[in-house]
Amino acid sequence: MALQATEQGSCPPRSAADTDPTRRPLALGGMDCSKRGAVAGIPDDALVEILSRLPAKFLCRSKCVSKAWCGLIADRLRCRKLPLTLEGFFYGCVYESRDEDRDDLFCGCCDERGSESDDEDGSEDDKEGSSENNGKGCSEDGDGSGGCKDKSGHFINLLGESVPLVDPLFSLLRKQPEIKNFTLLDSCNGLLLFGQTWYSTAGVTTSYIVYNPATEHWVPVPSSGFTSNPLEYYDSDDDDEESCVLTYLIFDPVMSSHFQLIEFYHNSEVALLRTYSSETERWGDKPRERRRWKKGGKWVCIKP
Amino acid sequence: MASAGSGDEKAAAAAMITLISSDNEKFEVTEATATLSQTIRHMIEDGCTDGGVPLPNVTSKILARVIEYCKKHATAAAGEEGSSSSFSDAAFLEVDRAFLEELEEFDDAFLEVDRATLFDLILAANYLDIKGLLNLTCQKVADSVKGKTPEQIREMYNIVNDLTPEEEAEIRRETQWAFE
Repeated sequence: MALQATEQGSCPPRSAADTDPTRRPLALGGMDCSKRGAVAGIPDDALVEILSRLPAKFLCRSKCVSKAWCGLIADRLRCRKLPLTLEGFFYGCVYESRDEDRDDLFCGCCDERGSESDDEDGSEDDKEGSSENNGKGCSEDGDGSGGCKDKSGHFINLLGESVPLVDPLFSLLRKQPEIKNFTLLDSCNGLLLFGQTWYSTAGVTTSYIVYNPATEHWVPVPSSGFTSNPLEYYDSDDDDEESCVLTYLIFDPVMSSHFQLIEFYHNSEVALLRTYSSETERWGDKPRERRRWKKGGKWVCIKP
Repeated sequence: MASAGSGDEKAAAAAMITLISSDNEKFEVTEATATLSQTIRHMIEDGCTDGGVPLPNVTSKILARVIEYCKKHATAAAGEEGSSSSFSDAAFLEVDRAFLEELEEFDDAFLEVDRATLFDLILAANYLDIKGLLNLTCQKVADSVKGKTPEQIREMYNIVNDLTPEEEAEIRRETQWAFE
């Protein structure tokens, strides 16, 4: 960092920067009389320091300023310095009745087993959630303790801004007639993964929605075709010894604008793994991997 | 404050560092002041500050401002240490708050410079690796960019738009949400 600044110079009178026509007038002129900008004369590292202090929205806008700015903002190495501020946490993002035991920060912390009443369809301002729940750990001790009955999402805003940058109620999604019973399952680099459960006589199927809360754009992802036995599904008290479906979202905007889903299913007998790519819009073509599931084993998903 | 200042000076008499600007002006500063710069701190640790530290990238005008900043913030740090031992908690908090307010006022006043100076301060802070100063100055520029359209940013900083209309349209399309 310091090295680059050394090479490019700050503004020593006899340095190369002095001969740079874009720079010199500014060094002499004041704020208003400077007809030529100094940004061109500022080393990239310093510019990154400035850009890294911009909120994401303005950072994205700034891509349009020039090739150099666009390059800097998109640069793989430098973008590590750009905003990665933790804005906050979602929790209790379960809409309609759904039992979901997820052991992560975005856990749907409901213990609503069996309460699949449909009369609350689309009730947008249904907020009977208990706000004292802090999300984490809910799924671990939620059983039997009455749990919490969140029907709406909560967002702990760490930046303390009065209006959160995203809408934790996901009103837009809830307005869609085709979207019901959705639960926040995962998040990855700014995208959110929701699961939608469908109950039928055949069992429970899960389709997905991938949602960008910043842009409020969403993409539906069809079910992988797997249907679980509802009894089996609801009997998952004994943790990993019973069946469970875990789905993860993989997305790196720098590598590709496409996302992938990884769906793990396991019960006491089999373990299945399927992947979905938004590029091909298909679930994995490879033959399903099937193997005996050893008791006591556990899926672990390690994300970058 | 005053007592902290004199204590600082006493300690400093033992360790003064000479900084030499690009236009060969010499500045004597205390080690406490100088070590706000990580770059200089490393030089001191490596024992290569005898005969002064040449800073070929920093003019005397800018160096004077940088030293002004470092002195103030080094004093603040020393003041905090001094007061913590001699005041009760409540009094310490009071002093602490007053101190922070004063420091904030100082920072605000410090930033009242023209844009050229501001950029030179960023460059110096970047080169000298003075975190607080870099943060302060970069935030100031970022605040001025925030809320501006790309056109306004270009105009403010006289940046030539070298993107073709197609390229710009493509970027806008990709980041449509940021313009809404």
